[in-house]
Amino acid sequence: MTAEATVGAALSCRDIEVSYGAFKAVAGVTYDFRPGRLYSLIGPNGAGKTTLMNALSGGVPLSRGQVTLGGKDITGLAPHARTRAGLGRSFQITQIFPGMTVFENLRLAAQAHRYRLQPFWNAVGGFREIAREAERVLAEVGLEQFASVNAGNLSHGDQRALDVGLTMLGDPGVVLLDEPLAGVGHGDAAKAVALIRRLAEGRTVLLIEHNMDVVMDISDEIIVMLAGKILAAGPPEEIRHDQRVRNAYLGEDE
Amino acid sequence: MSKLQPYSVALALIVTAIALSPLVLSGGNALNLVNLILIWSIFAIGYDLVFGVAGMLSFGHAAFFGVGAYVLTLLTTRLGWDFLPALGAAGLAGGVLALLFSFFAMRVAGLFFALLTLALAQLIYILAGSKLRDLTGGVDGLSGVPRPDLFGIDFFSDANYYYFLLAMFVLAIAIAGLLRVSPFGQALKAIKGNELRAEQIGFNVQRLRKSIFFVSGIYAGMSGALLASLIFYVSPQMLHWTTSGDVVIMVLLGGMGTLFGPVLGVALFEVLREWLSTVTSHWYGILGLIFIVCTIFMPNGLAGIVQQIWQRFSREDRR
Amino acid sequence: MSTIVIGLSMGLLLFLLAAGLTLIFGMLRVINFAHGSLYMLGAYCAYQIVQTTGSFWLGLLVAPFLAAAIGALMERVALRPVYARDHVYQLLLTFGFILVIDEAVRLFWGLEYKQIAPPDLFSEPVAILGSQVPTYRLFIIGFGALIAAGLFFMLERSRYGMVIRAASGDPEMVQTLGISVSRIRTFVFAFGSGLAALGGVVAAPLLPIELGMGFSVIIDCFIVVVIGGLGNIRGAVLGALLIGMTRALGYTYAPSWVEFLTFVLLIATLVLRPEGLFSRKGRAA
Repeated sequence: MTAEATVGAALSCRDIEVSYGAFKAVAGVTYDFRPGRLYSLIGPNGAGKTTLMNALSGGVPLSRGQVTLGGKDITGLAPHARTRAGLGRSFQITQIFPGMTVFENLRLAAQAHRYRLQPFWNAVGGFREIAREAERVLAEVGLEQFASVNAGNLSHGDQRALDVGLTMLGDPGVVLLDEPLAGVGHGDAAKAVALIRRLAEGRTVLLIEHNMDVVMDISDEIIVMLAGKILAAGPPEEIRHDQRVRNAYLGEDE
Repeated sequence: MSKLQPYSVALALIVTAIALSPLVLSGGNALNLVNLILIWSIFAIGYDLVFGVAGMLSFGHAAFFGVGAYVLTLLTTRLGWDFLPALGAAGLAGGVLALLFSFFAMRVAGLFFALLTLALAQLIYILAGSKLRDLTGGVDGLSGVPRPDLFGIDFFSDANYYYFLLAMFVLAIAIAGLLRVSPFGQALKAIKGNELRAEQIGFNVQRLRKSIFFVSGIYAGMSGALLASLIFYVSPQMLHWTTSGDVVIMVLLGGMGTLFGPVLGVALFEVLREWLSTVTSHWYGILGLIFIVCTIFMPNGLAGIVQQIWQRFSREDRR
Repeated sequence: MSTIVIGLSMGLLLFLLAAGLTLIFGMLRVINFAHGSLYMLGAYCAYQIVQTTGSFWLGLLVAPFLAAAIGALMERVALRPVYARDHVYQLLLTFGFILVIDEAVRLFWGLEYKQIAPPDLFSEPVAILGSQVPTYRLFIIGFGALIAAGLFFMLERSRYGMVIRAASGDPEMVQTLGISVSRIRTFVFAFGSGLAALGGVVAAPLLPIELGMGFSVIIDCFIVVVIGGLGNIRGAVLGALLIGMTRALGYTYAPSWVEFLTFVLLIATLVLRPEGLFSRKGRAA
């Protein structure tokens, strides 16, 4: 087995491993994520889903293996550098800047993407291009009417939307979403799923989600993890009838 | 400037009043007090860029402050440099030292960062008092620190030196004000607000932090040099950790994270020192008590109180 | 031989202090900057009690309780209102207490340094393996080891220790079990403060009792608890012995570099292993 990334994969990992002492949270995962498809990562709690996502986004160091983005090796890159290279990421717990307005939140993401060295010689309002960028995404996630509202005062669903907006801002080719529906009320869930569908257009998306109806509905492919390894992977229909998956989930499915 | 908050105008007015008070005040003591306030304000404004804006608690700023003072002193008295280039070099020395500190200290966060900066600064203090005695004059320090020599003005008069310090102060506050509202300052605010998110939208968190530490070091180095030239004297005492403690107290008393708060804090600190030390020799302990009470009951400092008063007034206006 | 005795006694003395500091951190997540000041206060109390009653032992008994009372007051009045805020505020508050305690000491005892003699019992040195060893140093080693053993017993075997350990790990959980976490916090802070003063009393016959002694010792304490891993009592023992021996050896062979070397040790530990030399990885705060 060679460690070469498959040609044409948007994101791929080769035999990656994340260990905490003797415990291997991710124990040798190899996978190619093909461009433009939506993947869902499922598995029981403690299977290593979030750790795998962190390993891809650079949040935890690998003890072994290689991650490539669009054919380029990004294994040694810090999270911010991966973001710049086109790998977006949202978190299980909403991560926004609560002390600032919604518009300011998005403008921050815009300036992070546009400037390598953050300009210091003029007020931020003097940089029109980042304001335009922020306004564009503001419309995309449907938060125009809240532009000047303090982000900390938004409803939970709108905070999630802002979070997605922050993730989307640099127009990343690959997006990792960790439970984007967590804590979103029933009424907002449909809206959130629609937003995910919209952002998945033309992008590669990896999603961690517990709501099986949503997963079966929107995924092109499903990856099942167990004990740090990939147990099975395939289209929803195939996974639904996979005996190993059924065994693993027996009594654990919600 | 649609977002110019009225209360910051109020703060700016108070600060201007402090800065211009020698024009109406007479007497050498008051003038000396204002000169001290101007110098420490530069230090505090620079410190708050790290503490209030970027959210890092440094206990090591005494090192940058003291080293700046020594660089100015040594360059002018031993190498015969002019005042202004030496002042620039003092700032640069403070900045470079801060950068050096940050390479070590930014490997850890929070309380560990505070401890590490404290330890690094104390290391410099020990070196200055023992191994580098030839350079620093040991506990006796060095005297004969000069003042600027410009346009034939006699800056050895405190009244004239005041104008020089005022100019430096205005420059310091203008630059800090610009930095805070620039994309750079906004990025730092973002890091303070949510480091994980800031990193994940693509900010190079470590580099941004190091940059502001560098800038803050320049402020500290220059203000240290200015203090040495105000009192014509420098000693390792300026490197001592209590200097770092003083600037933290000043910023917290005045209101961290605001542009003018640190200046108010410095003014309060220096006026208290001036006043209490004539009443009792135990003023530092009383200051400690005031500091404790203020930290508990007014976490936003004087600037927070000004803001509250302003809000009350503006609410009554609307009625 | 005497170097070893000095090193061990310094180490165990440091342990008394570091144990308090690290206990407080483990429970409250606060680094008590004023810990050194409480140590100094202990030493001055010992001086005062020896002056008025002539008994060192009375000082050893009374000073820790006095410091514990002050510690309890500090925790109740100052720290409790700010637990909800950033840890930075708690650190800054304890910093404020340095100013207050130091000033109070200056007010009562002035600027000149004080001295007390070791209790009569330990006035004569003894010969061990051919070298003269001060018996008071031996007493410190014995006493320190006794306290250390007592601490371990209390923390790991007794019900009290179990509650404290549970409360440092998961305060909400313990709260729901009907145990008052805020009372445990006060107790731990007072207890740690008492240990600091105990260290101060024990150290008093060895050193000039002066205003600067608090700060020089707090830096050593920081070094010990950082090396041992913050909140880790076992680590504190090892760290304290390491620093004690290093200092003793340093004073013998390279006196002008001792301060410098201890700082380098602290910085190196913070940079390379902030979670401590003796703790398992992943324990960082």
